[in-house]
Amino acid sequence: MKKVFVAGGGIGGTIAANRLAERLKPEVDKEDVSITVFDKSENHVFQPSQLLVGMGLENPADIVKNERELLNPKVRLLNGKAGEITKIDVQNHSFVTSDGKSHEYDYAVISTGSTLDWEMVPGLKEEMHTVWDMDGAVQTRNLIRNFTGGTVVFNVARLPHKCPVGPLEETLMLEDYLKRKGLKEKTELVYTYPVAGVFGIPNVNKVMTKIFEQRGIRVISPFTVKAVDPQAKTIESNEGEKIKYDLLLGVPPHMGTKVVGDSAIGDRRNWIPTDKNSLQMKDHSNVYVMGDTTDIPISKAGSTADFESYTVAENITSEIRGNESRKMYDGSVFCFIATGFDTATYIRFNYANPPVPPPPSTIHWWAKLAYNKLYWSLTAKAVV
Amino acid sequence: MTEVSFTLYKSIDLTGSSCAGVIGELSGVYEELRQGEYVEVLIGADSDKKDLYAWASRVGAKIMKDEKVDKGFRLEVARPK
Repeated sequence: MKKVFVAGGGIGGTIAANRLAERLKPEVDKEDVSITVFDKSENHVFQPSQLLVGMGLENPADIVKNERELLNPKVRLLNGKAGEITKIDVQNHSFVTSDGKSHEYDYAVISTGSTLDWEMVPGLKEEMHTVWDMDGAVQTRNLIRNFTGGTVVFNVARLPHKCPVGPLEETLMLEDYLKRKGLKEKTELVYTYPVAGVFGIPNVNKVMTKIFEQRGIRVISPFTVKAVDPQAKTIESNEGEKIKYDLLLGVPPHMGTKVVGDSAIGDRRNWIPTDKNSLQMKDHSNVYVMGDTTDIPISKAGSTADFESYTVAENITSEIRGNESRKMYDGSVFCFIATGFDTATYIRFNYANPPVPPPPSTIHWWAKLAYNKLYWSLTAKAVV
Repeated sequence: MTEVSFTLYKSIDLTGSSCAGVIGELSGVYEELRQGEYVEVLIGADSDKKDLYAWASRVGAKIMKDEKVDKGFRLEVARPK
């Protein structure tokens, strides 16, 4: 029997496992192939909607489901200590789990995601409220509800980070909220970003910078945060800026997961060296890497993992069946960008074709919400 | 010619579109560099190269090599000792 292991039951791992089960259905039914997902948690969080939790539009319980219910019944799921990987041994093709067991694989898909590196910037953890984790999203919602005016600084600490358009969305949604609540005149909204402008892709930066100007949002960039002073309520940059704030929101630095570091398979930020087209781990052809986990210069986003899952599932299927055909990942990404509480735009691009976001509209906003709802029944289950 | 005393940390291909952009991706890798190491960077456009030089000047990065290649430009960006 060929064993396919998937490390991580987040968006990437779940979609990949389900797509593999669908592609390899005859082999799985005959028990020639087994697919196993390893994850410490039983729960699956749709992290893109943490933004909507932070803005008070979603309840935390509505964006969490049981992982088992999302997986194809033929996919084996290991949780708790049995699912918590302590070492990925790519030399010996095995995972070691917290219960002390070693599991040998024929093919591995590593989709362990990213974590927040609060320690990189002194004072950040004490002061910054972030929707990039669930507890922070709930805190953000409560703080915004009780906010009565002052200076709000939104800071992106480092690039790259998960959900790259999230900072644009949170800032513009907050501006819309403040306007609707009659607090706009009592508030200065400041957006700080590590590279010049408000976003890394020139076409998108041009469009979004204009929207920020129209909405009266002050932009300070490049701004690479050096330290936050919780007593003085100031945030300081390597470039020499120091800003006083009443409320600090933002995105902490990101890095790959601890297991990648402990397994010595990543770079110094625990991103795994990955071929940008085949998605194979460099020097290990039976290991595929996807989602936030890779070191590929592409968006760390759920849609990226979804697009990548086609390549991973197709190529593992071909290898198991002895076929020569291989699918190449072309860098496809699709992200909606909320520009308020009832408008949005989007970007769709790949390595070769940069995006041009269309004018914001309510149609795109409703499409964003619909996509989020359909995630559970269509995307996660690899129906589309 | 690359100085012998500098060692390669990693190579990154920034010829495609990426949300962080060339400077966002490069600055992330640059923070990983130790003194005396360099990153090999592939970029596609003249405008990217101009931005890269401006960024390097701002953060004190040393551009050890800059050459034209098929896909655009290949640069070696080092963290000085």
